[in-house]
Amino acid sequence: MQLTDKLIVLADAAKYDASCASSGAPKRSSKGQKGLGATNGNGICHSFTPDGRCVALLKILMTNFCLYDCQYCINRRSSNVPRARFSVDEIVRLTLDFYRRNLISGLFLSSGIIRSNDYTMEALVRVARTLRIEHQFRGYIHLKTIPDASPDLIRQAGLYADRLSVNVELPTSQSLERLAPEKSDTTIRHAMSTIRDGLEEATAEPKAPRFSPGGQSTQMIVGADETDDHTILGNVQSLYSQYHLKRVYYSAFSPIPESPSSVPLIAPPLLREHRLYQADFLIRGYGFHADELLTGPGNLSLDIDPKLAWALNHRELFPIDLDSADMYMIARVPGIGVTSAHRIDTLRRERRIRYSDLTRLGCSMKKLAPFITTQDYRPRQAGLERHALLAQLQTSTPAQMALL
Amino acid sequence: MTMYTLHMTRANFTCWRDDARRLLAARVPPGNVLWQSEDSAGDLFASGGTDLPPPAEAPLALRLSRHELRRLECASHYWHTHHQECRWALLYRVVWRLAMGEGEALLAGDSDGAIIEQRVKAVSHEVHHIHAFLRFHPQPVDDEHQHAPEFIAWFEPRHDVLEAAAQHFIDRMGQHRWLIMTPGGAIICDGRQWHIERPETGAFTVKDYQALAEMEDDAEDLWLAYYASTFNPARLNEKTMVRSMPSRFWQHMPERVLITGLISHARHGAQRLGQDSRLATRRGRTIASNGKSRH
Ligand code: SF4
Repeated sequence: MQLTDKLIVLADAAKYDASCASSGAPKRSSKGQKGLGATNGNGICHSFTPDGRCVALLKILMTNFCLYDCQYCINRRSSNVPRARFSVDEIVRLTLDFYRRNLISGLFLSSGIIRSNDYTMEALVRVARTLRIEHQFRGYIHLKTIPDASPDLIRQAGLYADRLSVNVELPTSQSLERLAPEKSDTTIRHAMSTIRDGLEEATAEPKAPRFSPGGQSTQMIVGADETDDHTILGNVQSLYSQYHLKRVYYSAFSPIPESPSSVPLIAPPLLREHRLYQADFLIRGYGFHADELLTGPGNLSLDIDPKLAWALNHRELFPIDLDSADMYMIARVPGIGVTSAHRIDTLRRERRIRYSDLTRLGCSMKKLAPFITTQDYRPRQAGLERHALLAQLQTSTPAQMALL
Repeated sequence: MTMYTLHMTRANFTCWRDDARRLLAARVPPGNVLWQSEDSAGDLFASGGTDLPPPAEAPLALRLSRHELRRLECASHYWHTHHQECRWALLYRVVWRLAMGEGEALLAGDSDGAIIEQRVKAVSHEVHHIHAFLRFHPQPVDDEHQHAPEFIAWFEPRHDVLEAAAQHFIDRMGQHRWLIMTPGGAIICDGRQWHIERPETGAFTVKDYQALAEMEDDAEDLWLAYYASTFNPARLNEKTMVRSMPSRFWQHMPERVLITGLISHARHGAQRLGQDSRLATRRGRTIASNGKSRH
């Protein structure tokens, strides 16, 4: 098979994994040195495809031959897709060539499981090692870890990769058992602990070997099973606290050709995925607890974002006075982000806050209006009931569709 | 009080900083300074620079944190249009206000501070754009051209981002020799050192630049194959693509030839599935649980 053909097969096979950010690597440079590549902690999107997604890394599978039969996956052994396998050299060549042309910032490599877990993992590590040692490649490398691979191979992967990730795949262990019978929640979590321990060791011990400096992340497919957002967010919160995850990525289930009957035939609304990302961000960046965002079983509202939904449910806490409120509460006002909250705080040390300052800070005025007071502004809606307020906020923001 | 005219043609932040320091020392208020630069028409009648006055009896001086200085410098890379205030005048008014004790002048909530903020953002954004969307084309290298660049790129930035681009690409490219051309100047790197060359003083003319930029690169098939295949038609979202990758950059990106086709294909049917339709028609193979593949 021609290299171009392999690339078509193995990029198509890898595109359902959304966890391909290129951030979090330490500062590295090749200035005036042998070798190639740099990282500076921030990811770069070198292109965008018409699905609006960022192309930062060469995202491919080493092979889409796979012994497993995960029902949601296009590469499962019972799927009738063209199969291909890259050699180590082919992946290395593609990565370096794309990198020099400034098309990518590095490699995101994953694989179907061939022969055995260790055999597969070993092959992935070999690619990373060749890039790093032989070619002195200092760009970004993200390796998807095979959960059942031996801890020793995972440690080796950590020597070369900037980020390691193990996918939890599905929101609950029951779903995993049903849809990915060869995988197990226990081994997945075991692999995540191995990575966490490696990370902890590397931070605690200055002389410890390098280990995945960009941390670890995971991905969860949403909408392939029945799990609701309440359960998802609860589990996500515990994942964050147990495994020091940098990020959890959500991937709305994409219907696949010749779909087995165990998974749905239609995709969940992309807006659901978007709301989960928003909720996730509130948990990571704003100190929200999963239970605050959804107090009982069910899904996040598709009509309004989770921060606004939370504020509407807590009318008794608002409006707050921007000159005196805690920073923590300012950041919880819909329409005011963490950065703006900091800027408000800096500004109020110079003088009192005026309503027009907020426009200049780029806050979303329509959203925040009912929730704040300043020396020259008091919301008219202060007395409005939740429902009336919701109706008013929604009038010019038609329910959704924005994403499509 | 006298009006002072300062010529800022090809000026950089360091020149401005020198002038600003002396103006503050002489307590010249912003209203009495006319900054003339190539990107603003300035006042055409106020020709001939004026000598700056000597320091006043109680000279003004200003201490800025590194962060504040960096913000000012970044804002100075903003190329204003004819309708916007000259960058040097804005910067001087801000430092004047700071020197007068108006601490808010650099904060995003202030009216001047907001413009600074907006310009800092625009410049940083453009820096990001050149890092992301610039495309290097490999050049044939033989013994005859041992010192010729191995990679060249053409880019049309909106603000003065050459310096920031140079720093970035020298980190990335190791010992490769490369050349980035823009309408306003080029960065030339020999694998160790780099310098910026302006078309009016350097060895290249704008015509050379354009000729080089229009050179074809036929080795882009792999990238095009990848781009089409990593696209998921079931998630078509044109708006986000265009917002994140403004179309003014497409001209020099090889994937431009694919975009319209991929979109219309996704609209007409392919949108149900994520798979690349080139694969749907090909013979597949399933695998037995013992690992043997079946055709
Ligand atoms: S192990 Fe499962 S998810 Fe991974 S490639 Fe194989 S079938 Fe797909």
